[in-house]
Amino acid sequence: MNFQELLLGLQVFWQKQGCVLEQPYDIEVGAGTFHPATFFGVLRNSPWKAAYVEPSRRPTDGRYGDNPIRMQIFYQYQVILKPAPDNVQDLYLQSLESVGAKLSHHDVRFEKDDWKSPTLGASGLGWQVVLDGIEISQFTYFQQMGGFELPQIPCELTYGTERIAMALQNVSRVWDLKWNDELTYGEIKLQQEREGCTHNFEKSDAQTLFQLFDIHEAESKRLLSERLIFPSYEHLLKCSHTFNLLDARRAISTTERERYIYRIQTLARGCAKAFVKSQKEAEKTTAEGAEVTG
Amino acid sequence: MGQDLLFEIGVEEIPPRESPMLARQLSAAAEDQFRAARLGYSGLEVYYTPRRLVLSIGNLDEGQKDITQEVKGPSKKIAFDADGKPTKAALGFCKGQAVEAESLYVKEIPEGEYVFAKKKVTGRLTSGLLPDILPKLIEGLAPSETMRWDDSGIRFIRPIRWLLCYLDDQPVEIEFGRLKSGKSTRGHRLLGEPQIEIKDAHDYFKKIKSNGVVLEPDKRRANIKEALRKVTGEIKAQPNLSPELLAEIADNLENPSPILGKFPDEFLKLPREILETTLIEHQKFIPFVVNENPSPYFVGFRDGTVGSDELVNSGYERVVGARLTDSQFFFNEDRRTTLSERAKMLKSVVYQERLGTISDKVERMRKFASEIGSRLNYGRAEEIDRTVSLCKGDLLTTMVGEFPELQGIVGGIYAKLEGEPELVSKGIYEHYLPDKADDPVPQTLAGIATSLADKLDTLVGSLLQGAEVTGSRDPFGLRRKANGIIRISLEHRLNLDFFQLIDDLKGLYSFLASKAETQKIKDFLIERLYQELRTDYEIAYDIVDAVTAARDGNFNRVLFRARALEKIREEADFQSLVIAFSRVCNITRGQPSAGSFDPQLFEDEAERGLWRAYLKAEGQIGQLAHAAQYEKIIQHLIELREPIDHYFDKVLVMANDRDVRQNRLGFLTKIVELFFTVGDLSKIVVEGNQADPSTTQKN
Repeated sequence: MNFQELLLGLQVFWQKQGCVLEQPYDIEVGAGTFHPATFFGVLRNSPWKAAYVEPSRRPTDGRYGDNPIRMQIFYQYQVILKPAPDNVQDLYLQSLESVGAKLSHHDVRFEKDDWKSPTLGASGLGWQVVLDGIEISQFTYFQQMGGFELPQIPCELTYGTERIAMALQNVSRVWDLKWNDELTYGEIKLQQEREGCTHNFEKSDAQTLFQLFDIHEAESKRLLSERLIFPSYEHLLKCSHTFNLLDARRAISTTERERYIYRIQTLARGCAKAFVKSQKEAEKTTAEGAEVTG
Repeated sequence: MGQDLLFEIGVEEIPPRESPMLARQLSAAAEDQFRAARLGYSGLEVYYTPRRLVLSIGNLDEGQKDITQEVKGPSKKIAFDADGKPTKAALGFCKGQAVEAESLYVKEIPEGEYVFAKKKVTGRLTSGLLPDILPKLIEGLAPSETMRWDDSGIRFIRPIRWLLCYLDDQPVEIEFGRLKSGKSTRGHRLLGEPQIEIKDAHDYFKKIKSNGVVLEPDKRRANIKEALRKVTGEIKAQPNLSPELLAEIADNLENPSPILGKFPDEFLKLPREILETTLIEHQKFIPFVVNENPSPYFVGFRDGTVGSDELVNSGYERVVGARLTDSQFFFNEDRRTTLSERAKMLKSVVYQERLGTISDKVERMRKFASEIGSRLNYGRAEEIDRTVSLCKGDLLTTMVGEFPELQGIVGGIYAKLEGEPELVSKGIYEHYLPDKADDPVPQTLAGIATSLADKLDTLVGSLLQGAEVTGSRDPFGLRRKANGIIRISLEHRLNLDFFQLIDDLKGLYSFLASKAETQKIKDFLIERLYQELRTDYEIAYDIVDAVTAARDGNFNRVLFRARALEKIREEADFQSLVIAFSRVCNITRGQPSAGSFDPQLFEDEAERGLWRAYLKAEGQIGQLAHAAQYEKIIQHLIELREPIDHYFDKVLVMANDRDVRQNRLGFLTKIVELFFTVGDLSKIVVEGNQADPSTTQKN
């Protein structure tokens, strides 16, 4: 099973479970959770199931391609199921088998890992799923998003696709993964990884980044005041990525760090609040409409 | 003949530190509930794995016994008319309680005369009671964090997915949230069937075993140890397995099965502490050592095996390789910057908001350490000062960022590699000790001074800026810091008065402009000293009461006093002394402790006799106290017993003349002070002297 077959296999599996197959978002994010399909999806007042690949950027995790499993950009496969099905653990394990993991030959564990995203005002309880000693997924029952206690509990499954592929192909370095039958992951991605690390750790310009942060924050606020929730949220995503770049440059001191996170969280809470309000209004309009026609 | 009850709560993977706690709670809740339901049994066991909590009760009563209950009805006036016939009200009561009107009787109770009836309560069958009792058992569990997973409103540590309940061979139907109990359980994820029909309570244990689940936590622990023992023989190396790691592994798996792995030798160059922490903290793998040197072997436990371990093994080795590569990366990164360069960067790291940066803290610690060193005649002042200056530098290393529990240790290792003197690197290495209750105390002079300075600064600073420690609230871990200070001073027999030290250095905190007094800190330390002497030194409470009442900041001296009192407490002379001293205490209690008096004003020969005896004893005691010769001091106090008794026989302390009275009280207060060189002996329980907790003297 090569890497792209794995991604395809997950798509097929979750499509059969009735998920909306979304596509990767076109703005840099640190995780699939930041995709509007998850952030706003779990705040919707109706059931919601979606799945998609999300390229995720973690500037501080880069190792110039020297580390066998750590990189500054990788591919998450994200599934969000609201409400969480009772058999969600079984579904998850079945999804692994559907892409060729013979579970009896592996060690699969659910290990306590309570998840928090201070920037999104989100938290949940669950596990990291560990396959033969390597964390391959984050499995979380969300309790809060954008500062809201969620009335209907969603389950988020986040697959680390490269690590699963490494176990399936039994290779020791991510760079040796077969992407398809001709090319390896390294042949396609290694140069990008190295240059990305040099940029993140050495060449990015902190002054510019600080300015960008301020600009995007201001834009996010301005757009929210005009009730443009999604455009406002996109600037929040820009802030979040800019912050991660500053972090990789160690340009933010420990004390300032908290303040920056709080600034992003404030934007996230604002977007969540406006979205929940718009959902309620839409509900009301639909109800009124139903009355008129009925 | 009783029945056997089996109750299984099926949960998605419970975190390993929670399950033993929940099992204890389940056991306690079951005892309470069955007692309250008047149901007896002969055996109650609780088992747990990450996926289930199991209650098994043997020989449970089939039902409650019938009992007779006395029920109160209306007052006599209301219940009977003028003719003594039952009224409507009384008949209504009888109907409600299903008793005959003839059986009513009248009883006088504080509210007046009331009618009562004896009612027979027929016991209910256990099978009918369980649907009420069992959900209460689940509700009685209090995990340390909770979550929701559906819209039932129920919260638990992780989602509850199934319930199984049998009374002998009868399934018991219960409901909890959206769940209804069924007749099946689930086997081990890998080794068992996903759905297993159960026939009766006994069948459960058979089936659960044949489906790969080791239900007993002790057995899982034993299996792990046995597996390690076998491996030890094969590879000729010893496992480094702490009780915490053993519990963590055993309670995280339903069927621990060992996988032996090996990492590349090149990583053996990494310091042992870093190697082991990498294996343990990230992977829960067990490191091995050969003659105290790290070995490239490790053992991980997978959950069950069907005999094909190759992929798991290569996965484990792959992840260990990656983790060690990371540790190597951190190590190389860190080594580019020296500790002293890092120490300078601490100026920009906040310690506690009102207490400034870590750099500020280190400056205060330097003052403490230098005072401690000179008061204890440690010498080597330069090296101790260097230890303190460098000790927090490792907080800025990537290694401590990754493994916070290695703080201090990493600093010590790096200091050694940087060529710092041995005393400095060792001092840094151990300066957080002791942190947990079973940690050793630091052994080097630099380690002792730095550890004390660190803990004192946290304690004094936090308390002066208004931190409160109450019940479970202890935000800065101040109890542990205080315990650390006390343990170091007792185990190293430090002749150091901490109260004086704190008073002398409280100026370091003048920037806080705090109204809080150092008294608060001393009280806190005395309270911890009290606990330490009671628990670790197992000294009787009355002796600890007596010696801590003297409120001496030299904790080691306090311990010496307690030891002296332990030796002498059974001697008759001493017991008489306690009684005599208690008289002195009782009469001076609540009096202003002026202590001023004029021996010229003594009227009675008994007064002058006691005065002479006092002077003699005091002269000796002053010297002996300096040398902490408490047994000898007590001997001198014993010599005061006769003059005291004689004094009370002859002298009326509470004389009418105010001046005479004050003079006598002043003198007796002086005697109390002298006794307090040892402690408040009136606290000692001897026959004929009831220790009175209110006699504590504050001086």
